[in-house]
Amino acid sequence: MIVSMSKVQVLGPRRLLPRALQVLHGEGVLQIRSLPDGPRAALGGDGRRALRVVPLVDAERAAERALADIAGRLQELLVLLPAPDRITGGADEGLPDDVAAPEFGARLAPIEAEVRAFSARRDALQAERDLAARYARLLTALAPLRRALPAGEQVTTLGILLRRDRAEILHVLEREVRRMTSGACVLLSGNVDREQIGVLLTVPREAAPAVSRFLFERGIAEIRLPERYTGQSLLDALLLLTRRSQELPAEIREAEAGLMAISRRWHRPFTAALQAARSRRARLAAMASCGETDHAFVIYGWVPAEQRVRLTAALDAAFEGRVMVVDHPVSATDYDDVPVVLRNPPYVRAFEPLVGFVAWPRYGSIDPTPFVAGFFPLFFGVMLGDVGFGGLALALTLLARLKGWGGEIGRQLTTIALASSMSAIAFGVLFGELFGALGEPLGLHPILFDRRTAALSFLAMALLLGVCHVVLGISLSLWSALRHHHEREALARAVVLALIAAAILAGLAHVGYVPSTVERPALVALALLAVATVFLGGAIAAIELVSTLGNILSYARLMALGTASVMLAEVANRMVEIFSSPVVGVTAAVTLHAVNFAMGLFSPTIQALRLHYVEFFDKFFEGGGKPYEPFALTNQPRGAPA
Amino acid sequence: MERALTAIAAALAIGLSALATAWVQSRIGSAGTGAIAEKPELRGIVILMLAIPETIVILGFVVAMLLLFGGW
Repeated sequence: MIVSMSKVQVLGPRRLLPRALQVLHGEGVLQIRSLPDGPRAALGGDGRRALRVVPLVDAERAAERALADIAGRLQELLVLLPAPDRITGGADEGLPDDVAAPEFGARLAPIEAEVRAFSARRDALQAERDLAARYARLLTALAPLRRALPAGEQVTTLGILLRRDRAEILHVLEREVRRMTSGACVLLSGNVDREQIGVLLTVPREAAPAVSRFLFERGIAEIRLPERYTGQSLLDALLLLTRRSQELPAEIREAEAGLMAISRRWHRPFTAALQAARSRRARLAAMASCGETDHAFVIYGWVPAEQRVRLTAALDAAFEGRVMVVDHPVSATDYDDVPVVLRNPPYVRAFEPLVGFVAWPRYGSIDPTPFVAGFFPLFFGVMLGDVGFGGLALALTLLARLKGWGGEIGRQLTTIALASSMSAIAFGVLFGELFGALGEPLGLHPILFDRRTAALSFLAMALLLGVCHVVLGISLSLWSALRHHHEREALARAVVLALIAAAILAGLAHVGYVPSTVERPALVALALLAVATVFLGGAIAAIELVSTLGNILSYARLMALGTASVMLAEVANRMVEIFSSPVVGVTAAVTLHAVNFAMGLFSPTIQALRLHYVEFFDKFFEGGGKPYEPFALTNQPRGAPA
Repeated sequence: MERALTAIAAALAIGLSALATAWVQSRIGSAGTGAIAEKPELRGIVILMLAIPETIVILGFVVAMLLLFGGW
């Protein structure tokens, strides 16, 4: 259900605007909207009553800049600090109350420097550790080559890593480097592992930069060592690096302990200060959407109708009637701007993300979530329709719910999965299926029909569900048209509904389910209603009629997927008979059932969604709604899809 | 002979419509993947687009079933 919204104006003396914004921020129910052009024009002129956007004074601009800076610094600090394992500091640890004050920034600076130093040290140590691990094998491969290389201060040794499948480059490389150094180079190579070759290239010191540049230009990876190893030969540096890898874990732990000690003391005060800075920034930003005259302020916004009284009471309590809330009627022209809040029971709410996946419903339209919550599990059950597969899906769902996988989104998904798997079990009982026909010896027989043999009955059932779903969609469209007083559109929808009824009646009479005398009048009515539809809706209506027929036929996929599922289960069960070895037969059967189960979870979900998005929503759904984002202390939009 | 021809007709109905669907989905899929890479918020619409041509193979399947079991 889409919650009714109130379009309100909050009015009061100009000097009370900052305090009013503070109260509104705390209440968190008003979504502030920009100052509309209309009232400005209506009050008009340059007089003292002229309404203008509240300008920020210099002090406010300075505070805005300071808050932006402090918020950025605090956020960065909180990213660098680990989550504290326990709290050792006080609530504010002596930080100045005013987060925008220069003293606050000054108090923050030494802590920042300390955190950055610890963090940089830890990162450098970790990089060194990773490098040591990476080059350990390289060292093993290259160390034996060391003795064959020329030594001395006049030469530089470069290390290169090459992929083994590009080993032919070595010859080209050697030729080119020999040309660059006039033959004064030594190149030795050895296999590092199954994928890489390590190469040591000794060149005259003055030629080393040019050779390095050449390697870079050719995309050949040269071994880069940390700065602390500068001045050492490559192999000595690699040996030192390996020795360092023994010492590094303790040094990393020491740096992390330093960060943790800071976090225990400062994480809480920093979090509170960041929240305070963000709140003040939000209030300053909100000022740009407020209007003022020489004496009064005005804030335009949207509030859920049921929260309107609470908002008024809060403002009355804070300002003793000096700030008031004025209601304005919400007209159809406002619908594109009105934020949308959905309110559904917990079970139905789980399906809201499925609707939001396509678009958020527009204000004034119909929320399709309750219908999706009803039909999605139904369609899923018709397609999977097996006690065994449904039971497995149910067990997996309960496990996921018990373990709390995926947080809040996971919980919503498990609600959908719970309903769908229970529906699959229910239809499994109706179709008499337990992993195909394995339930027969246990006394599980089809109640409705056997999906393996009654293909046409299954098709009829699928199409009947299609008719119900599409008729519901058209009926919702009719109701929406009536609600908005679009009489001609409503009449066109009613005629389409009558036309579908006449077509069903003629069909039933033709196959003998109703007396045959009904068939001719039904066909005449069908022809007349078809003409009426075209008359009311034009050529488009004729196309829509054909499209509606296509929509209904599209529900045949329920039967198609259901039949495919039961046939695959049947094939899996026959594997035991096909193979002479029972072990091979059972393994093949279990594998096929597993494949069928995996497909049975995925395909029905996609197809059930498609039937909703394409066939059902097409009839009545109006997207383009904006989620409700109130001016609140937390930035979480209420009522928005998770 | 008639039974064999019916089976071939059913196979053609499902086979050709499956090929048509596969071809259309390959075009939509590649274009859709590119679109999602540029604008991830389009994923819902792309999945929708991708599912639309499946009606072709579903209708082919229905025709095949009618040929095999409908007594036509």
